[in-house]
Order: sequence, then C-alpha cells, then structure tokens
Amino acid sequence: MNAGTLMDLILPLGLVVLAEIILRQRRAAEAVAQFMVFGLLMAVAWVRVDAPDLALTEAAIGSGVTGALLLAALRRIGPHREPTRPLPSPARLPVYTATLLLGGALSWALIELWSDPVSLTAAVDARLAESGSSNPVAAVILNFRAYDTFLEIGVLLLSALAVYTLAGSRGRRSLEEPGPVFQFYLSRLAPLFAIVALYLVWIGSRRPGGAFPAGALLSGVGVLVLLGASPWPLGLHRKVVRYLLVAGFGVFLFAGLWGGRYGAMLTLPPEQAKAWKLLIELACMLSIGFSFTVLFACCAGWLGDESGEGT
Amino acid sequence: MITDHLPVLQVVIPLLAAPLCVVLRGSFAVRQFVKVVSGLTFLCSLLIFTHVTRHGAMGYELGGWQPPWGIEYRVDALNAFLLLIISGMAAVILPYGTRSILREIPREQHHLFLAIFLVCVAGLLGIAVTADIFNVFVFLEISALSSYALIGMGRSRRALTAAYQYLIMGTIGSTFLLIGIGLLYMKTGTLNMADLALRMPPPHESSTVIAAFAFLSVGVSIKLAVFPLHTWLPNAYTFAPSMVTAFLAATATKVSFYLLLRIVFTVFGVGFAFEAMHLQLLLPPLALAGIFVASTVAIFQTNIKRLLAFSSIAQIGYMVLGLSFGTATGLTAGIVHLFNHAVMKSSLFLAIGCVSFALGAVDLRAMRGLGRRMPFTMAAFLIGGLNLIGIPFTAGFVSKWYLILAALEQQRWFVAGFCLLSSLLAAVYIGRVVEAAYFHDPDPQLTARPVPRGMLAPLWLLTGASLFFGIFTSFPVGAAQRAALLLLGGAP
Repeated sequence: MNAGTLMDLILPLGLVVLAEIILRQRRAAEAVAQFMVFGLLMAVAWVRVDAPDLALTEAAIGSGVTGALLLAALRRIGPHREPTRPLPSPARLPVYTATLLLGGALSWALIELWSDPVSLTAAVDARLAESGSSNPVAAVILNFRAYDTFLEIGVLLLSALAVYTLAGSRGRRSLEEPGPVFQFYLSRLAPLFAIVALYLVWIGSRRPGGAFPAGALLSGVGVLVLLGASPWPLGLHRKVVRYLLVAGFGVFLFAGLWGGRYGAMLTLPPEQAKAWKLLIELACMLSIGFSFTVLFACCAGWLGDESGEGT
Repeated sequence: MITDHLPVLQVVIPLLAAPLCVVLRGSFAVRQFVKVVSGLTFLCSLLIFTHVTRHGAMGYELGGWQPPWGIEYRVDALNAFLLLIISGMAAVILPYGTRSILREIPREQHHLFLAIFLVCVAGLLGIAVTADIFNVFVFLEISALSSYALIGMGRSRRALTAAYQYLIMGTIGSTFLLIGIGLLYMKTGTLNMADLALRMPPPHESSTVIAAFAFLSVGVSIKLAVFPLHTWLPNAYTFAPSMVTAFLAATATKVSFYLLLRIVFTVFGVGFAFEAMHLQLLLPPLALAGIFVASTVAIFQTNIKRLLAFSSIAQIGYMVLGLSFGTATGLTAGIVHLFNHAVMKSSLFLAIGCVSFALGAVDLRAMRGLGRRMPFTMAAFLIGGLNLIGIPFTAGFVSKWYLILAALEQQRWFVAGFCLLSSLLAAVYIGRVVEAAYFHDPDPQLTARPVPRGMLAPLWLLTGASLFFGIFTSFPVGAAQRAALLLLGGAP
C-alpha cells in the first residue's frame, strides 16, 4: 500500500468524522472554524481525484469565502448567545438510519460504475482544437457549456441582489478601526492578491485557474480592505459597484448576442474566441469579487439603510 | 431569421431585462419597463407556440456546439404549451404586481424586487425550454434562489422563516436531482435528454440507472410538493407578497410537474417507469392521500392564503394522479389540469391579493360582508372557487372530467369515486369563505381602501379565462392531447 492509497482511505473517513464533529459542536464560532477546515480537506480530496480546478475553487470559495461569510454573520448575531443544543440521542437515531440507508443505496448504485466508467473526456479532447483553449476544463466551461457558466454568473449576481435586498433593509453598522499590525499587512497583501487573481485568469485557458478562484481571491482583497476600516469598496457602491456587479453577466450576455451573428447565441468564431474569452473572464472575475464582497458586507451589516441603525 | 432565435430569446429577454432594472433604479420607470418586458416575453412564446403547432419541434444549439458537447434547446408540443402558460401568467400578474407591491415592498426596493422577479420568470422558462438535463438543474437553481428571495420579501417577519424553510427543503431537492443527474451521466456519458433516452440501459441490467430514477423522482417530488414532501409550501405561499404567491402557485409547481413528465416519459420511458418501477402502483396512494389530507386540512384554515395553499397541494395530487395512469387520457387530464389550475389558482390568489390591498388582512374574519363591500373581487373569488370544486361550465370541470374518464378507462372505480368525493371537500372549504363574504355583516371597524382598476383588470382577465376555457375546451384539451401523444411516443 503506497502513500496515495493510504491517503485515499483516510481522507473520506476524515471528512465524515469531521462532519460529525461539526454537527455536534455546540459553540458556533468553533463550528465555523471546523467548517473551514472541512473545506480545505475537501479541496485536498479534489486534488486526489485529479480535479485541480475544482480544488482551487473549493479552497477559495468553499473554505475561504463561505467561512468569511459565516464569521461575518456570527459577529453580527453576537458572541453572547447560548450554545446551541445538539439533537438528543433518540431523535438522532432516525437521522443516522436514513443517512446510512441513503449512503448505502448510493454506494450500491456506484459499484457497477467501478468496472466501466463512461466519460466524455475523449470526446472533449477530439474537439479541443476548435475551442482555442488547451485546458479541457476551460474548453468545457467557456466553449462547449459556456451557457451554463453564463447562468452561474447570473446565479451569483442574483444571490448578491437577494442578500442585499433582504439584509439591506435591516439596518447598518459602522466599520471598526483595526490595529496598526493589520494595516501593515493589508497594504502589502491586498496588491499581491490582486496580482495573483489576474494571473489565475491569464493562465486559465492553459492550466487550472479561471474566473471563479480569481474572483474569490479578489473578494478576499475586498474583505480585507473592509476589515481595514476603509469603506471604499462600498463607498463606490452607489455609482460604480452596481455596474461592477452586473459587468460579468453583461459582458457575457453581450458576447453571447454578438455570437448570434455567426449562427447561434454564444457562437465565437475561433479567431476571436481567445480575446472574447479573456474579456469575459476578466469581467466575471470583477463581478465575482464584488458580489462576494457585497455579500460579506451585507452579512456583517455594513451595507444598508442608515435609518435602520442598530437593529 | 429571427424565428430561428426564438427559443433562446424566450429566456434572454427577461434575463437581459433584469440587470437593466438594477441599473434603471427609479420605481416608476422600472414598473413600466417590466410591463413591456412581460408583454414581449409573452409575444415570444405565442410565436413559438404557433410555429411549433404548424411546423413541428424547434431546436437551437447554443454556441453552435451540437450535443453531447453543447447545450441544446428543444421546443415541442409539450413545452411550447408550458412556455405559453408561464409567460402568459407573467404577462397578467406583472401588471397587477406593479400596483400591489406599492403596499407590500418599500419603494426604494422596487427595482431590485422586480429584477429578481424577472430572473425567476427566466429561470422557469429556461427549465421548460432546455433539452439538457444539467442545464435544467442550473435553471432550477436560478428559479429556486429567486423564489426564496421573493418569498422572504413578504411584509411579515415570518416571511423570512418561510423562505428559509423552503430554502432547506429546496436545497435537499436539488441535491437529490444533482445526484440523479450525475449517476445518469456516469452511466451514459451524455446530458442531452433525447440522447439519454437512446443510451438508457434496460433496468434489469443496471442498478445505477434505477438509483438515478429514484433520486431524480424524489428530488422533483420535493420541488413539486407531492404529499408527504409538501411541508415547505403552506408557509411559503402564506407569507410571500401577493403577486409572488399568485405567480409561484400558477407556475413553479407546474414547471416541476413538467419536469417529472419529462424525466418519466422522455428520459426513462413508459416501459422503464411503469413496467419496471411500477409508478402506477406507487403514485396513486400518494396522490389520493395528498388530495384527501390537504383538502381536509384546508377546511380548518382561517388564513385564506394558507387555505388556498393547502388546496394547491390537493390539486397537485390530481395532476400526479393523471400521470400515474400512464395512458393518453390520464396524461391529457394531468396536462389540462396543469393549465386550468394555473388559471384558476392564480385568479384566486389575485383576488385575495386585492383583499389584502384593501384591508391589510386576509383571515376569515376580514372576509365578512365583503360580498357587498368588494363585489367585483368577491365575485371573481366565487367563480374561482366554483372552478376548484369542478362545477360544470368551468375549467375545473374539464380537468375532473378527463381524470374520471382516465380512471374509468382502467376500471378504477374507487379512484373515479374518490375524485367526485374530493369535490365535496373543496365545496366545504370554499363554502366557508363564501358564507363569510355573503351571509355575514361586515366588521364596521375595518375600512376598505378602493382597489385600483389596474389590479381588478388582470383578476377578471383570469376569471374570464377560467370560464371561457370551461365552455370552449378545444384549445387547452387539444394542446394537452398533442403533448400526451408526444410523451407516449418516446423522445421528442
């Protein structure tokens, strides 16, 4: 048994055990921290199944952004809350039974796939040349199934709008001044993150990367700047942020309609494809970054009507 | 030229309009704008419907990539009809909503609310139009997320709890769907529904496919609110803003029913679903129990929106019952009821929306004496109620008629009798409201504001439609029969 196989055995087991620990956790702050660890472990699991693109996104969004959102929400609820009570054991029994049965059914369904898995990898490779990307994942995301990606950007815009509408009407808090150490790191980390984000978009067509992890990194910049008590990502809000939020969706849609001239919607002629895809990815990166920043600010209560202060 | 692009325009028009609402901002401007958009969307579906009726199915390959690489849109007799229903409902309910939100949503949020509403319309249209099962999932997420937000924007704080409940149940439902889609993809290597049908291995050879069928049908059943997976629905419908309740009641569960039809008949096929999976034995008990329990619970409700919500669960039972026969008549009954129920239930919810606008309350006590104080609204409610009961010369009667025909065709006397009996239950819960409205004196303390004509006109348009299609049945029944034959004939 080599190290890889050992890891393949330990990882899923660790995920299940960690999930159980999180469910039993009585203090919310600890549960959030463990949840972020869960995201990182999950990212390692994606690496093990040869999906580095997913691993990047999982680490950035599943662990980073989601964790930040949960922490912000937690902070808003306040630390002086009673610890939540876990389900009493008799009530837990049917839940465990149902989960085990479901898991069993799923494993039973998967066993036969063990011997003859079917995939489209060969089919995708066959037409990779037409897409203008050498990374098959990028080809699927931005060419073959660009429409799904476009809609996912729509989902993100939608969730930013929804959270802003629901949380925005429930009051606003002011930003808090951080210490000098934080300020020191902020001024050095923020530009670095932004550069890495740009790099991820640039290499996306050849290697793992692309708009989603890049956008998540960019939102990290946004969140850090907010935590540094500098409200400019939100101060922009009334003029530019609205446009930045819809930029990715808008550019994608425009590219789609432009493609309509060459046949069907989203048809990109090979000679223009590369430029369009870079433009789309950049716009999407900005929108993803700003959407997550707005989500974070809403969760923390930094965005909203000034009249509703204190609720 | 433009005709070729119609299937994609159907979704792109509302999807393009939504960010424009966000940028446009002003309440008045946005409210006028969405009326135009809903009109254009409806026009688009009308063109598609006539084209499909005359020339047969329309296809559209997004990005010019043919399946299984790319995503395909395909409109046939079934989803052309559904597109017409969704966009028709949006075209009637949006103008109504531009008035009703004045009392329900803060003015500075109108543009965001209407933007999210348009995204919801686009999501539902997308589920109907696409031929790719993963694309279905993405659109399902879009429509579901926007519904959670729309429901959460109800006036009472409990709207948030209701939206959260729906979010949890809805997420479980989509997870089941996603697992099912994943299993199918791993087994067949395609996501296109027609392709899936071709490559589907026989059930006795593959446990993966059986599991996929189970996961997909449970997932859709949660979205469809089939008894006993309906628990999210009553609160969601009760606390949502009036126009949202009316629109979701008219379309969201209908789209889920369409999805169930597609999965059962197009992807898996009659042989798989009925001979191997025995849907004809599994579904009728759930459908009948749903009709009986939900109708009985409805009788004891005092909040009229909640009463109508339980009635919706019962009506979903009728549609599922129609499907469970697996015959042309049964499917016709189910699809006709999909149309009729969309018309009658939205008219009922619009009537209650008018009451809510006038009085700010929708409980049974507030309904007292309304027959005299709001004669137009209550007359519409009465007609909608008669539809639910299934009185002859209403659209509701047509649905019941085909359902009983389908039951008798298979000599299921018990089911046919049950359908008649359940009408009595509907008569009781509608009767309680009608009694309060017409045989009690109004509460002198409650003052009613006048309801604007812009709300009464859409209400009466739908009420008129429910009477019209009760007498001139050829349009809905014809469309439903074509769709039923198509489903039984195999892949579109």
